[in-house]
Amino acid sequence: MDSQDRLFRFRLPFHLPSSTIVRSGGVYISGALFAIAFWFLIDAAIYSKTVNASVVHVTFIDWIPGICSALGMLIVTSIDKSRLFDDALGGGASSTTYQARVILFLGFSLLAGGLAGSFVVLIMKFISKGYNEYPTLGMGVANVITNVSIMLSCISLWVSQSVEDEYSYSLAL
Amino acid sequence: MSTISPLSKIIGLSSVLAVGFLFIVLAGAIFGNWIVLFVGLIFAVGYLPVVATQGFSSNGFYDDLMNESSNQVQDLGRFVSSFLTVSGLALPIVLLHCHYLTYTAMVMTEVGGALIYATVVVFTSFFDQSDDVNLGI
Repeated sequence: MDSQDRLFRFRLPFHLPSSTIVRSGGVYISGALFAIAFWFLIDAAIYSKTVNASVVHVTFIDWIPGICSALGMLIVTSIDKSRLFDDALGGGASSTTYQARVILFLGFSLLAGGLAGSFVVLIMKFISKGYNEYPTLGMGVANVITNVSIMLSCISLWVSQSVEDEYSYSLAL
Repeated sequence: MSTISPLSKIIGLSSVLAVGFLFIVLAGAIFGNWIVLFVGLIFAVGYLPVVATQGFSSNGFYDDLMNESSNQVQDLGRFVSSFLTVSGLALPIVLLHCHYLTYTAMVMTEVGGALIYATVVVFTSFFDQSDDVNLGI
């Protein structure tokens, strides 16, 4: 390894991964987190139907935060990110940029609303009614884990795609 | 690597695949619950989205000027593949948690599914290598 390639004064014991590896790894992590979220939701529902001994059951209320988060993730990831930052070229925000920002705001609101809604379900349906023991409380906690995982999945996908944008930009120059 | 003939590679991979399916079918047959066959199916198709979308990366050469849409397609393939793989890992645990499976059946299903998945991955990389050799790279 040449001395010109070094980033720090000391020699790193590993190579920093290239941006293509970061990109594909971020997408893999995003898919894995989304699968974890999905299966926590399904697990809570099946558990409630089969081995649940308490009177609390998973109903459609528990699904609403997860559906909101998934819709928000769909909206956020389907926005074309080059539409958000084209101020410098056009000299001011064009109408497409404005629309993209409004839609993106809706997507992030759905994500945050899903996360907040899962906490609301956990507190209003489980904790405030006195169901604090773990096998019952686990259904509410699984709901929170679902929404946190969907949000982390969306963040991972966003970051990995932004990495690729900078990479192709530097290549184009 | 090149000392192993392709025929023995294929035979070895197919026997590993057979052992993987054996584990899963045994887990279904001994404990009388055939829902674990879905796990084998998920693991078998888990790597295929990546393979199916690899063809969009400009003829197998590494090209710095890939256009935007091919990257999006590859990302979709990676996302779906990762989703399916983690689903295959998570489904036996969910079934164990909901008392559909015993612990032994869960472990056998996971091991069999991992063997099937590894077979598909190794088989695909084996074909990629032979493609590269044909192109003279």
